[in-house]
Amino acid sequence: MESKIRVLIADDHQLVIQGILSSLKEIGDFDVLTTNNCDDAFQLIKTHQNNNPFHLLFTDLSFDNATEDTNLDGGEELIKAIRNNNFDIKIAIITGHAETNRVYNVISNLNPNAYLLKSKCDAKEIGFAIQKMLTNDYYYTHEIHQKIMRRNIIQIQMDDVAIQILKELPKHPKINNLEGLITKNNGTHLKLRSIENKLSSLRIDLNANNNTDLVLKAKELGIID
Amino acid sequence: MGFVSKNDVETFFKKNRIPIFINLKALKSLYFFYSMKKTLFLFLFFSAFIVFSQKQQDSITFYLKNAKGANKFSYLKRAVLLSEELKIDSLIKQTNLEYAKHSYFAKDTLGLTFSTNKLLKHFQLKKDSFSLAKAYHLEALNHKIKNNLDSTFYYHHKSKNVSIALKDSIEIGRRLLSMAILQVKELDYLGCQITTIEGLKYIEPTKEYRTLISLYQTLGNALGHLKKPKEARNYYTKAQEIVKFNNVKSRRERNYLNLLSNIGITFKDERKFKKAASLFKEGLNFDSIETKHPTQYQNLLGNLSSISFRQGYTKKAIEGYKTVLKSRIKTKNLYAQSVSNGLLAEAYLKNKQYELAKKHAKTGLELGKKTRNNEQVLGCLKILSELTNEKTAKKYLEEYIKLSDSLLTKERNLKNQFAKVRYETDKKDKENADLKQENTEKQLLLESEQQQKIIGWLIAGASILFLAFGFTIASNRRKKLLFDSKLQKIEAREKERQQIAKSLHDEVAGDIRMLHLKLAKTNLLDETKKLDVINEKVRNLSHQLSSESFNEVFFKDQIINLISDFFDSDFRIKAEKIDSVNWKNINNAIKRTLFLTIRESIQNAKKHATAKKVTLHFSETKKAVFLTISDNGKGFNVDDKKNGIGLKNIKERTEEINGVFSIESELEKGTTIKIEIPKNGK
Repeated sequence: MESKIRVLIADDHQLVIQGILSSLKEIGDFDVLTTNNCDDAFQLIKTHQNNNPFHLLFTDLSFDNATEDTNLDGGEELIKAIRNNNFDIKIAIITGHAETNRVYNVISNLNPNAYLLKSKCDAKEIGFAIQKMLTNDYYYTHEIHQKIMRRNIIQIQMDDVAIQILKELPKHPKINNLEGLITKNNGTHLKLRSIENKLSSLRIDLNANNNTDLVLKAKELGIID
Repeated sequence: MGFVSKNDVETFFKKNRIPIFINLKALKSLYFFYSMKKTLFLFLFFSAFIVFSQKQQDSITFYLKNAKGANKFSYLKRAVLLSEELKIDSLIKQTNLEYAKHSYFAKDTLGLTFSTNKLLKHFQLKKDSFSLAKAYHLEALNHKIKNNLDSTFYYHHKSKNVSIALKDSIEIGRRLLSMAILQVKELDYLGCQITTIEGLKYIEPTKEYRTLISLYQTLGNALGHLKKPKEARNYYTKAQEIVKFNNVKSRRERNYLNLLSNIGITFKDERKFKKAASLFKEGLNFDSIETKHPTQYQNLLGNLSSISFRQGYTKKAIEGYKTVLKSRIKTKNLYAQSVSNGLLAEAYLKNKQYELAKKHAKTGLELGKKTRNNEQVLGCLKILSELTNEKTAKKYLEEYIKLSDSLLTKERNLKNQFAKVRYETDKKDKENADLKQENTEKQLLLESEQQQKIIGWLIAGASILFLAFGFTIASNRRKKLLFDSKLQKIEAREKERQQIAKSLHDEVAGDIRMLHLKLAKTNLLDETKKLDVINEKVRNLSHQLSSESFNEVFFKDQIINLISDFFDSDFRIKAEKIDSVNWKNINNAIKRTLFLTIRESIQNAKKHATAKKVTLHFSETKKAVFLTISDNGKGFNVDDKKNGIGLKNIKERTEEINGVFSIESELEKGTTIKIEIPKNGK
């Protein structure tokens, strides 16, 4: 019993649950429980938390069966409740929602361990995602990854300071030289520490290894000319 | 006579044609010259004018300087006329006064009247009160020449009052001095005392020593006549102290001599004959006094002689009187001559030389009558009545009494008249003051009325403003309520849309998905693919219908997310100045409208315009938010009514929250949409 990984699946469509179940069977031996609403899902996680807790949660975002009595009326609410209680459980979202807005909000606010799209997903991908999640890593399906990346690019493009830094960076051998060259919206200069912070966040956003890589990627993505 | 032959007419034309021709030519050349060298021409014109006027001024000074001898009056008059032409105020006054002065010395009343009129005219033109004061002064002098003493006094008084208004102390003092001298002449010593003291009030603070000396002297004379020799001497000595400041030498000397004489008389009145005599002698010892200052010499010698007479040295007195008389005959001073004759008659009478006494008394009487020296006339009549036999004596006595009576009444009248003049003018002044006060009172009344009116208007205005203010508040509130209800409506509609979107997504799409799975199992691949397309479409529709909650997510992030959904390497979207708007303070309905507008525009640009680039530009003012969306697509005809439902929706949504929507598009150049939305719904 102890070696089995305990999985909870929450989706309002039985068909989806069936699909996930059959995929899991292909992957390995899991101890699986299913539910079709969020309130039940939360109760299950909570009651099993101290003895025999769930390791993984697969959940949809929108649940159509919510009534007036429903407490948690969607995946976001469920995840929020779990995070608020600091339950130790890895969360994977498996949903049809691919609009950047929802994706961005879910990822930036709820920090799920995986984000999968029902339409593109198969047993192999679910297995890969589980593997990643169990090693404390994250897995976003390719389309979602692309969306997040694109969004980062858009955001950087709208960020005057980031553009300035990216443009100035290749001209100077040292980051120290950038101080006094970068101006903020209100006309004041950016301090060296702020420049370094900005650079590190840019590297994360564009998935760059170092500053040279960052500039190359920015050029590649059309952020700078 | 009136017949003109044809021949004459012809010659007339022939004669006149040539000059006309020449004139035209001259005009042309002049015009040419003028147009070519306009500035030079003007310059020449002005410099000529300046030189001309300068010349005139110079000639005025020339006339004034050289106004002597035979040319005196013609020169002065020319100066007056020239100054009038030049219209230089100071020159007009100066020349007129100069002309008047000389006219007065020449006893030319016409000349004086001329200047008086000029000055009056100048006053009327320029309202220069100094001219008015001077005009009155000249009028007074005019009457003085004519011996109209009361008129003289009157005009001096008027002139003085104008000067008081002008606060011209020196002029006031001078006029008062003239008045005081007149009062002495008319034996109004008390009035004179008052006048001089008033004059001193004005003159003492100034350094006008000449007038001050004269005032002291006149006051001394008046006090002397009032039998107050000590007080008189006090003023004479005051005058003596400042004689040294009189910077005209001859005047200074005359002042000195007159004062010696006057002080001497005060001692004489006090019967201090020795002291008086020593003073007179001191004066008589003055260097060449006889030729230089004959009048003073005569007075001093006369006074000295009168002391001899009083002391009983009749013979010595007669000798002195005789010398004085000789000198006075020489200087043709008839008035003083009559005095000498009278004194001689008195002395001879005492010395029992009756014939000589009679002779001098008769001459004195004659001259006294001529010069209106009534005092002497009376004295002579009295002596004559004593010297002649009964019949003639009686005649002289009767004449004496008659004259004395008339003199007394006249004197009284004059005094009264002077007093009257003073009283009347004072009364007038008082009346004026009263009128002034009345005027100011009326003015105050008017002002207060006006103030009340203004206050009334202000109250009316304030109440109107208040009403308007209240009205605007009310209408604003109504607008706000309307706006709020609109927002509520929008909110409700959004909820509905979301509901539809949700059921579309969950029910329709779910059912399709189920169908899809079933079909997949039955291996109907074509149908499966078609169903997939339908599924995608439904999903899109559902996404479009649902609009996200704007409370939880930053608007900027939403816009970024929106852009990310459409962004591609061949469809670039740029958002400019999104940080220039403080989105926290913007109403959600506005944000939603902007969001939907942007989404619709981007979709249009991608789908219909096949644009490669879309630019969003945000800005904000105190009252409104602005958004401009422009693409580089193929554009469309704005007037075409078949334009999509999307644009119509945007327009309606914008106008629903009182915004302004405009669209510009040109084929092959792109489309620009501009939106302005007021922040508070107004």
